Amino acid sequence: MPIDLSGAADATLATRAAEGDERAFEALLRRHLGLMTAYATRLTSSRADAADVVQEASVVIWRELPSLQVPEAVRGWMMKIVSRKAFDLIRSRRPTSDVDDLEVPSESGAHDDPERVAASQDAMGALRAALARLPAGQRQVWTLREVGGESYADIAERTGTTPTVVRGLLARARETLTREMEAWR
Amino acid sequence: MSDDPMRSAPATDDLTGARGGTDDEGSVTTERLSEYLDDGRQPYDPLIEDDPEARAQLAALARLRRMTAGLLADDAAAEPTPDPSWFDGIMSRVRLESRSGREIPLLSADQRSSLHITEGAVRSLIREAGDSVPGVVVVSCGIVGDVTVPGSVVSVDVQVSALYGAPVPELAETVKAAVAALVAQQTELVVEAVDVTVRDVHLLDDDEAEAPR
Repeated sequence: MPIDLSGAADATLATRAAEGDERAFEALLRRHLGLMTAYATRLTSSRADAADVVQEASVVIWRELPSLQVPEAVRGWMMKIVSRKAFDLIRSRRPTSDVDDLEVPSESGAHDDPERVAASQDAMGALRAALARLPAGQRQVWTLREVGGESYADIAERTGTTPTVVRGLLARARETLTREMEAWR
Repeated sequence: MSDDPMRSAPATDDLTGARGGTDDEGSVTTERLSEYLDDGRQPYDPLIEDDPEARAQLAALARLRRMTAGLLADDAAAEPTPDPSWFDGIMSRVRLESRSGREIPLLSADQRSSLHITEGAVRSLIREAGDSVPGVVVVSCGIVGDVTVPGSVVSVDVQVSALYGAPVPELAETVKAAVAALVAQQTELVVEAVDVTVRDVHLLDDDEAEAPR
């Protein structure tokens, strides 16, 4: 009777999975699947795309676990793989995508999910709505930085631009969001 | 994720405004304010702290950041349970890429055929034996030595986590015995030593749950 691994520490699960323990990998994946899916949904603005991204990312995570240097940091590392796969998918959909394209305001997040629009009675709902109103490029850069904790260099690589452009997009996103959140002090 | 080294890295881009931290009108830029926040408002910057407008924007950024910290967890909590067939799809792709390691030969009565057990399967046995000891979770294990040569002498290295409060020397001895017994019973490996290291201590599941499920 195999032991229940659902309560084991992330680092334990990551180390076991790196050594080939599929059950440990399954426990690790189940634990973080919600976060991975939420992150992928934020980056792609599509639940269907997010499901594909998480599936691809999961296989890559399994494959690359033996190269993870700090097993304690596995969650952040998994999230970076999610964003990498999200942008692989986004790029494959928009082969000519450039920064100007990304500047087109996108309301897709808001239209996708009526609940998200209706939820603006509370501050978290207001933040969601404000994010959904941001131009797609700003929203993605902001999400990679503030939600994913990724570096400027990584964000530039993901989005196919330069760190300088990333900083500019990020500053504008922060200005808009703080302004829109004024009422929620 | 707050331990990202880039957060505290100095700005290295060529935006004139960002470098000086102020824009054309002399207001502190949002980027400078964000960096200041990242650095825990250290070292003290009078240009920001003595400017009411900058301080207000700093407070707004700090509030935004606090909310952001809960955003994804909030999204994740609202995620429906994944479709079992979708999840199984992932796991079956994972199993296609199993890490089986070296092939360990087994004695065969029949000269023309060869039998093997994979290193991955033996590791699995070692984990099972270690895990079977109450209060122990195996973290890492390995077989040291040339397992590909039949009859060669090897040693087994097991690193475990012990339940907080459990008597460590006894646990280590029990793990050693359990691993030696199962490996002897299920494989033909000649094990000269089982080295057990208790590398960390864990609490019961409930105390340890820091990640959202």
